[in-house]
Amino acid sequence: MNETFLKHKFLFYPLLLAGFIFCFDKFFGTDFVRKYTESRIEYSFYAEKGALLEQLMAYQSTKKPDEKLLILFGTSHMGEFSHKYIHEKDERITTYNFSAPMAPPSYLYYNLQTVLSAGAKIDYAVLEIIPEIFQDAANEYALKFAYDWRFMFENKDFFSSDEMESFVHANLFSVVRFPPRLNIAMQRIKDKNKIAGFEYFNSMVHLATKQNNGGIPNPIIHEIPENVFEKESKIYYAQAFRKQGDKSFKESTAQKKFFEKFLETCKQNNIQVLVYKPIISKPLQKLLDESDFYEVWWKDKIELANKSGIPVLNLVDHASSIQCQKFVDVHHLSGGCYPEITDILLKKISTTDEHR
Amino acid sequence: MLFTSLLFAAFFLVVYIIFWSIPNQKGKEFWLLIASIVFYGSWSLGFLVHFLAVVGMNYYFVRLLHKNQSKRLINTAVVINLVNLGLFKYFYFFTDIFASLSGISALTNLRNSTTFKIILPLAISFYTFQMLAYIIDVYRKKVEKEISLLDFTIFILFFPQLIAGPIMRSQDFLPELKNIKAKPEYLSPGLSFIALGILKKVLIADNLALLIDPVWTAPANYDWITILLVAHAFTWQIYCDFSGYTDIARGCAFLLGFRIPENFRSPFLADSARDLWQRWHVTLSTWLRDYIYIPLGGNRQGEFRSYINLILTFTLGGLWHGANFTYILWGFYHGVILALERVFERFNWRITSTSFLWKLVCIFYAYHVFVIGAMMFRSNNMGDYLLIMKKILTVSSGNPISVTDFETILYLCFFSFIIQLAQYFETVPNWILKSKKFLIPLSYIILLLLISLYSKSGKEFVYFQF
Repeated sequence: MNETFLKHKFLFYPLLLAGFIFCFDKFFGTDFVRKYTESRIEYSFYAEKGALLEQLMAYQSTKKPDEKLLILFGTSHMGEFSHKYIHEKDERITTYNFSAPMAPPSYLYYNLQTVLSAGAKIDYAVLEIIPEIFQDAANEYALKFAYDWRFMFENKDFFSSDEMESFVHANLFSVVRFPPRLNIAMQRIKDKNKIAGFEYFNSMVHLATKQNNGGIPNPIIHEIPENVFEKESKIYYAQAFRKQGDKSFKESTAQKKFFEKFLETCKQNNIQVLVYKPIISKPLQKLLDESDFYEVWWKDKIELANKSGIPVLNLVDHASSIQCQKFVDVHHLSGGCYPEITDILLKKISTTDEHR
Repeated sequence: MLFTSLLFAAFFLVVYIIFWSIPNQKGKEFWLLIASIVFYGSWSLGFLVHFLAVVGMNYYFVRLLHKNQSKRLINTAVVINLVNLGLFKYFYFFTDIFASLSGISALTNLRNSTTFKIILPLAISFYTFQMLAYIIDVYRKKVEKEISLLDFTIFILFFPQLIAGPIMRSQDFLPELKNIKAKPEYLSPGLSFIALGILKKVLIADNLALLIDPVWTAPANYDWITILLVAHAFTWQIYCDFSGYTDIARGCAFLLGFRIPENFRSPFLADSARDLWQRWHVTLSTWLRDYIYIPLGGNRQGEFRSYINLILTFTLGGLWHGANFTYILWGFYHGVILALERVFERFNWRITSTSFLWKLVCIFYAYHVFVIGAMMFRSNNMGDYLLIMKKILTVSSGNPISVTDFETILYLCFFSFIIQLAQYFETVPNWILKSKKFLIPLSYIILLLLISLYSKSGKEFVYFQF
């Protein structure tokens, strides 16, 4: 009967179709198409980390024995810390910033591993934690833009099958990493200036990262009137802690484990690490304080840090003494206010250093 | 291995390439068996062994029944299959009932025990029904020709339909299995069904689930409008979820040269409850008719008895879905509605207008029969069901769903309605048929783009739990 490909050429059609789709997908991943279709900015921040590591390693090779390397691991809240300001305050310290938007502990641990494997000797590390990044959703960008196959394979027991699948999808299909937004493309085809605007933004991220060792400090004080914060906080809270049944927060067991792994790895490598929680606008902090999860979540993290003898800096505890509290949105303190909180951070690091 | 996962796509590609590279019939059969075993084994090796043992045991009964058409034998076979199903599916349900009646605390705590746990084997409800149908057909002499263990095992394990149907009949499947042919006319429907199924499941059902699941988990927190909205939304979610699965299953089967039966024929455009059940989960409805309703006496023992049979059949159909009173109530409710429709027909109370407006009224009625049932079906327990009914009937207040979510739900429901409307008119326009070579790749590209923009995390198919 010989019912095979050789006899029936039409049987090749599904295979050709699969191949065609696979190739067509790659077209959407090209720089030429992406400059028309890409609208999200997160990729730029995640993509810069390779260049940042090279920069760090170049510094490492010239590092003097009395110099100290501080690495900041966190979310967009950490981006505003200025390495120049820190160096002014303590000239022994050189800071690199490995933070990224909404980066979860798994991504921060991934960066820690990458830096250590490259041979860098880290003296101080600051690990920022907020409840948002302990949810499954926080891993979206890192799964799409950051992790490599080896890291995923080594940590397969920690990640859920959904996360493993998202990673595979993102690494096989360009459209998963860079969803082509046709409305954006239409706008950019009509108005080429919009492409220039997007490219300018990317080059700015690149330049700022290069000049500021990964940070994007902005010393100008921006301020949004506080009267809009109440409403904005509710909107942000509803989006960040989307209700899942009667619970508005479901902690990812994977992210909790990576948080522990981060602390453990720091301890093993003799890195003086500080767990840090940023200050946010009062209405948002109030919503968190009134929630049914925040206190439990925070207490748990303090306990985990204390268990390993790791100090914790909760900036909310210093809220009454922080003079500059201008926010650009409900959870980002204006860059202009950072010198004051940098002082608090450095004081905490030096106090801990003395007690070692 | 979810049908909508990349893993399944890779698996199917390998199966497809090897299947159509094997030149002989026997080799193709063996390959199908291996693929189906791998497919089920990827879920659980332990339960694969259990499954194969059940298939082997049923084949043994089939052989015996071919030799000796004994009532005792068929009863034994049916009872063993039902005990196997009941043990896994209804154990906790019945121990809970027994515990509440007897007050034995050890039984009450059984469900929460950490040392003793019964896990429901994947697809057990579907494969049990398919095997029962076959052995009953052998007993009834509807199937007279003996088949080999290999063919019987493939018939039960055939991976595209294994997990959630359609519940196949041997008469439909075995002739194609015994004469596997590459059919060019199966190519376009195969690819189109796969695309349509992915669209329904990934873009509609999963997105709807994401929006409405929180409401179903804690309905007490929400207002009556939200509850009403999610009842409708669940109706479309389950349609897109289940019919999406069936479309992918049929599409894969078509590409392997098999035509497996249709399970959904635009059910929400039915104009009566009876019509609805001829369009919704068709293979289960016909199974219930042939193997429960008719053996109970059907409509041969008088009008009143036929109503009772109908209610009983559907109540058992409800119980088949799961060990929960909400499913039983759901089945009972549909049985009662169907019986009432028959009473109306018997006394000629049914309006027989052929006007378009009257047709719309009938469609509206049948759709809402389903929606009311869907609320029972989706509620976590009877308490939740009573609560949501109370909320709706008393126009109760609570949290509303956000405006954005509300709008998205409406768009998704409308989109699925358009799909169903398109499927209602079964003939495909000529211009589509003529340009299918161009339209199929185009539809896959559009699908890829839509998934990249709008797909959320993949969810299991709702009917996998049954």
